[in-house]
Amino acid sequence: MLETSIAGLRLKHPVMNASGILGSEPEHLEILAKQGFSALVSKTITLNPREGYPPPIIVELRNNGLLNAVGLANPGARVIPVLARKARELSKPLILSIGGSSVEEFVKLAELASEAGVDAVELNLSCPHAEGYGLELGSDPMLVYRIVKDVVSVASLPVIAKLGLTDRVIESAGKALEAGVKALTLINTVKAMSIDVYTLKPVLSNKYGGLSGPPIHPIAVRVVYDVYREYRAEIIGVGGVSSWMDVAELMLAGARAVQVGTALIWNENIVDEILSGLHKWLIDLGYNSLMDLVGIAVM
Amino acid sequence: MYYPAKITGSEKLSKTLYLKRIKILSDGIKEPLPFQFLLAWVPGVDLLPMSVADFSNGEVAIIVKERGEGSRALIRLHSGFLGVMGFYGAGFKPWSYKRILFIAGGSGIAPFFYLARKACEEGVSVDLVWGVRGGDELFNPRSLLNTVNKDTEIYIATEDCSAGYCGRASMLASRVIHENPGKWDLVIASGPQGLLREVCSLLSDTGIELYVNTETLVKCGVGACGSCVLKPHPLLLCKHGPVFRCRDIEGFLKGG
Ligand SMILES: Cc1cc2nc3c(=O)[nH]c(=O)nc-3n(C[C@H](O)[C@H](O)[C@H](O)COP(=O)(O)O)c2cc1C
Ligand code: FES
Repeated sequence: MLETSIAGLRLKHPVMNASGILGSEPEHLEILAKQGFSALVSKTITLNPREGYPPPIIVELRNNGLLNAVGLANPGARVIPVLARKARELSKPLILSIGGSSVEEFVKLAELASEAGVDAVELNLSCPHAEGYGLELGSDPMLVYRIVKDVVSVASLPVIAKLGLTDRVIESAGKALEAGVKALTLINTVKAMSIDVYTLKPVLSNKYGGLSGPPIHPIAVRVVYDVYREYRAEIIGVGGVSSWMDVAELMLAGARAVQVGTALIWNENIVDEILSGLHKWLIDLGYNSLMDLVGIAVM
Repeated sequence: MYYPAKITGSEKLSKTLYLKRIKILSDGIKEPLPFQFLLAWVPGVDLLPMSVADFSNGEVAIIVKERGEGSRALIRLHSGFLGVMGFYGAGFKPWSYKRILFIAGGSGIAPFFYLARKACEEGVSVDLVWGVRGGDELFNPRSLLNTVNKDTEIYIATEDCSAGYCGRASMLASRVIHENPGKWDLVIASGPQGLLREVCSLLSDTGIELYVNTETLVKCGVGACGSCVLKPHPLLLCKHGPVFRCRDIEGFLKGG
């Protein structure tokens, strides 16, 4: 009933973890696998190790949102085969998120991912707080086209592009599809800030960060809807999912799968809760396959 | 959760240890569990993980040891504002035990005080073995926060042999346990990793349940960044800890 397929991967159900909440070490994958995701997504891996920003890197906000500027901290490309081996051991498909500041870096990482035998790569073209590594790339449709084109030409595995909220997200999505991605992940965090009203300073060491969690869910629904309406593309919906209803909304807007990030922090049973909610929803509606509901709100 | 906060009290306890009282400037903050911790943000300087040494009416006490630039800045902050994130960790509620022996090394004593307060409310007794390197690091635990019960026994060890037992806390603990068979049904060790490792191996044949309060790099406190993972175990200090049973984290203790 809940089976889905995305970018050629056949999945038991539509719920994966979102990149960056854990996922840079094999032990992290073990923790994530225990929560029941149908596929595991790594933290964004760059060619060289990155320390990331000094703390504070994460702020839990009063409005149930989360603000982060981790700065793409990760152990670098050497961890790719380690993560691939661990995912096989856990019998979970692995989507490797990769990030770079140049076309060459993306290409090199995609080659390493292919060699390591991961199941797909997700190009992070949307981090709002790592300068030169994210949102600047995704907001330039021609650059999106070049990165995707070159990666697709060397990678022997499905390529997914992850795009964030920009004025040109629909155009960028179109260029990514034209250049050969199998699916799009929409959206990343939304650039934001939090200021302490007594110390009178922004809390994050990087000042700016990315907003995630429930406050961005309606934005994600809107972007998925618009991109699906335009291209009928395969979409992984992400942003503020904290219940089955949030998943249902994203699927009605056109997503064939979803990712959950921030909600993991507050709820360890989120996957099971979503799955039983979706199951009941299908029965209530009289459907026998979740896939039949993908995009049906889109007119 | 992030809270603005204000330093309301500051006290030098010994050569290296300081007590700070911090008022959280927000209503409705939930009382922490023993061994939960907070991240203290000194703007522009650092974010420091700190055990809760006491809590009442929205005011937290922490014990700060002078080590780097960050802790020095926090110690110097006498009446200013700061940020507090927390409370993090699963905490530990050892209320099914009768009598607990808390083995502390240096500033690892901090969570003892809050545990003692809560244990007293629950009818559980806690005794303390506290070891420090030099006698000038000592203060009197009984007079500090008024959380220590009258029936609590306190054993002191110094490595410079200037006070109490001459040697390490783990050695003293091992001795008092052998002199008092059957007295304690739970040991909790808190302090540097060397101490935790020694306690876990020295006391493994006593039949007493052994737990340790771990320390590692904590950058976010909420289970997202992964910096606090106790390799090679799939366990996060900030989410599943910081207190673990010795035998559940053997690989981590060996590695450190
Ligand atoms: C702490 C944290 C770290 C993140 N790191 C990454 C990352 O490395 N790569 C990436 O593509 N997205 C990253 N994201 C964004 C998430 O994958 C996701 O797109 C976003 O958080 C929205 O989903 P959510 O509301 O379910 O968290 C991160 C998010 C958070 C909260
Ligand atoms: S400190 Fe970030 S996951 Fe524990």
